[in-house]
Amino acid sequence: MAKSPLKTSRETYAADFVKADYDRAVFTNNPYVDSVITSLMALSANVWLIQRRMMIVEVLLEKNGAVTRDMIEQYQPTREEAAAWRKQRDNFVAEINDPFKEIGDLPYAASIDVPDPSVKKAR
Amino acid sequence: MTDSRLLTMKRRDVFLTAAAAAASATALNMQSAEAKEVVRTLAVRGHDGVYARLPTLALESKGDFYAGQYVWRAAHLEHAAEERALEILKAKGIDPKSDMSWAEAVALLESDPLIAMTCRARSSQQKLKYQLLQKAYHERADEFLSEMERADKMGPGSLELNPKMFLPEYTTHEIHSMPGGYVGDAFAGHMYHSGTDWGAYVDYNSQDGAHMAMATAAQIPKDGKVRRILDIGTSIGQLATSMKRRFPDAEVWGIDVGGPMVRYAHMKAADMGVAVNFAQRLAEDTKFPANHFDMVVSNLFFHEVSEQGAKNIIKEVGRILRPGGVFSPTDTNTPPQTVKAKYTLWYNYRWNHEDWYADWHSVDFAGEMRASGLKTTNLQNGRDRYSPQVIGVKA
Ligand SMILES: C[S@@+](CC[C@H](N)C(=O)[O-])C[C@H]1O[C@@H](n2cnc3c(N)ncnc32)[C@H](O)[C@@H]1O
Repeated sequence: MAKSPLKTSRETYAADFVKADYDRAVFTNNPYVDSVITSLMALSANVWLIQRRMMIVEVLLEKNGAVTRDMIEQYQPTREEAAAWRKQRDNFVAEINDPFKEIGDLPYAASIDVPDPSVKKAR
Repeated sequence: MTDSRLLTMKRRDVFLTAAAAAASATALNMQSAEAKEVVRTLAVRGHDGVYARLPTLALESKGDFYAGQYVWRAAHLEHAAEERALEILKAKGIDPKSDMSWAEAVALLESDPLIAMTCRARSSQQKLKYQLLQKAYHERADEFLSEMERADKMGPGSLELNPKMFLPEYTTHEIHSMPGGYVGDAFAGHMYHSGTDWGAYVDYNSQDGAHMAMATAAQIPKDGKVRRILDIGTSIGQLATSMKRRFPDAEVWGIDVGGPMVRYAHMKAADMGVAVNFAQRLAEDTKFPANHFDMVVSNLFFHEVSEQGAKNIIKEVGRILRPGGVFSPTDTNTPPQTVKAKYTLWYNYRWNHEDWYADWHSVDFAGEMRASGLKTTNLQNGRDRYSPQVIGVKA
């Protein structure tokens, strides 16, 4: 049985649990590629965070001419902004991810349909 | 219940009238804000409808990305993988709906890189979102634990924790790859809430909307009497609070095996101003008297329970329902229809650690209900997300 990694003197009401092996799966033909995909996703989440902060800063500057860190942290987008940002998010996600839905399936050297001058000469 | 900690039994009557129950989520929250003390002291970024906003912009924004990632995967990547699977099966002369085992479906599709990418994308998203959440709450654990300690003792509603309770082994797994599962992390409820918002519930359960729809659709006893309701496997209490909003005069209970789950459920409900009694108890041993409840409900519960667990729980439901009382279990039990769907289900079972999927598909649910004294009815619209496939009425 596994235990929560949290160290605290407070009551957590956490019990021992059965650890699962989800971190060990290799889905591609190379474990490094698996890690790179996960890593790219984490990087993208961070880029989106920066983009979202920028959008908030821009809105606040436009509305108030000034911003503080607290105003950025607290900002709640209007309905219209939320809808527009959502569209932007979906475009951002698609731009990064679409190559993965276009993964090819033709091994590049499997085709022998290649002109070969040396073979031609021999003939 | 010798070691039970009955923390509060304070009920406030000011918060919820029948009119408020019918009002919009936002109105509900505003009304309760006037009527009670602040429950979520760390909701420094305010509320978005009935939900307290996440504690930092960073967490909210990264979560927004993972939600987008989920939507893209479900809409675009899965579509491309479906097409690829059709091509592969066509080349082999196999009907995409042909009857075969999960293992055969996996053997046919596993080596295609595009199809495997669906699993990679699912797995990476789960890992990153839960790591992000766990890190955020563990880093400031003292603050978040003290917020809960305070909320434990507040109303409306009540909270009962049984930290020494026996936990059946099947309830201690890390289901759907959530670190610590439902019992093993102090912030299991926090993680479950955001995890489902950014995952399975994206675009479908904002503001507890899906649970409200379920509560609205739930069939009531023929005699119309609804005095006591129980939600088993309540998690963060979304169905229990929705039932209370539909039946403001009823006594509503939500029970769950996870202490951290019911703690969060109570904090969330109190924050919404909805009086539900939450208790850390087992669905197979609810401690309620026989013939007690008018309605027992559950949602997305039984697919996470072992075969023996499910049988024991259905028996217990048969005991605690009063004659004429209704049992409505909603779940995702439509068997997979295509080879690709079997492949995906297998992935969910094996690598997303939905460890009890296979058990769930092997339980004769209606048969168990009948054996427990319930008269069953199959519902036409079963599994339209809001309705159970079969309901039971105690004879
Ligand atoms: C997927 S969640 C349920 C979701 C929730 N009903 C909703 O509608 O949002 C499954 C829940 O069942 C709980 N659970 C599993 N086995 C249990 C048992 N034997 N007794 C009580 N709760 C249990 C888990 O702790 C978990 O919170």
